[in-house]
Amino acid sequence: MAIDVRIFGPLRLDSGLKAISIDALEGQRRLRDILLELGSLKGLETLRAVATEGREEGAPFIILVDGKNCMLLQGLDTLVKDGQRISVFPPSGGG
Amino acid sequence: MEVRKIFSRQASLFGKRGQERLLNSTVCVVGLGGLGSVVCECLVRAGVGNLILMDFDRVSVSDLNRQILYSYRDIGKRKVDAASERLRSVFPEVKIRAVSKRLTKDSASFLRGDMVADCLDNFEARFFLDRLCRDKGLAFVHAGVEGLFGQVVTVLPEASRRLSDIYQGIGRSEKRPVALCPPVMVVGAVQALEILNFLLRGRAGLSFKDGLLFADLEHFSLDKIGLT
Repeated sequence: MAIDVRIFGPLRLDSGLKAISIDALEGQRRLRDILLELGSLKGLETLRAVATEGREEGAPFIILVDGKNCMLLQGLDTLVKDGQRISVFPPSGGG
Repeated sequence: MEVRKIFSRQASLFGKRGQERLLNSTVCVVGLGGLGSVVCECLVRAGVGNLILMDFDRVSVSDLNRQILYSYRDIGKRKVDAASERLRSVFPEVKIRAVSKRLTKDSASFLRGDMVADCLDNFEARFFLDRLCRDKGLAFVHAGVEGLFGQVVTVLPEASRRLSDIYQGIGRSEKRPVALCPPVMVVGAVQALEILNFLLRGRAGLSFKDGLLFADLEHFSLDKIGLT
């Protein structure tokens, strides 16, 4: 029972982590709780801040749940199920 | 014709028919900064015969660390003019429509061709380009770069998932992005290759219509992030 989390960009640089497997507990967990757990790891504190302050909008990175922006789901209240994948990446704006 | 020998080293890859197809293709490149420079350079050296270049800006000295179409002597020139001059010096037969305008509703009529390259430098303008491409039935390849990271994704006109969906909620940075040549060249080259594959093989040639390429030149990795 696991949720696969892929980390890209500066968060990978800061944490040294590329992929993390999170326990799905009862088969599903709220995205907010997953971010809180991830945010306890060194280099991923920003995820905790996003979860506690509820500011998924305006964050410097995009959170995808199975390839869909969490903002198009239920934001931090999105239920992530066992076997689903979360991807966190910072879109680059420069040209 | 002697000038066509420019493409002799790629003949076995593209074939005569493919090369003709590129010569008859039109790509509209919106934004002639770092990415736009690399995309244009790659497309013209591959033999794309028609370009529409759109940028309202002029060349400044701080562009020269990464915008490979320009040289010190071009400072102050309109980017579309300096770029056209450079590209014609590589392949004299290339036909270029230079549009020195900002992308607006009024200038949107210049947006046409077989494919559009989004080489803009901010998300607001990109989302506007996305809407225009959807309305005009144009496919576009988007790319962005910042520091040692960048991404590429292709958006087809009929796609329900737009660029603004992928990047929904992204914060607006007040800082000017860090910009240096190697990441710009890598990401721009991938963007150009995606365009060439589309011109040569149609939708079957596209690699990033269902996934976003994330380039990480800190760790030297290219990952495809699936999109739904």
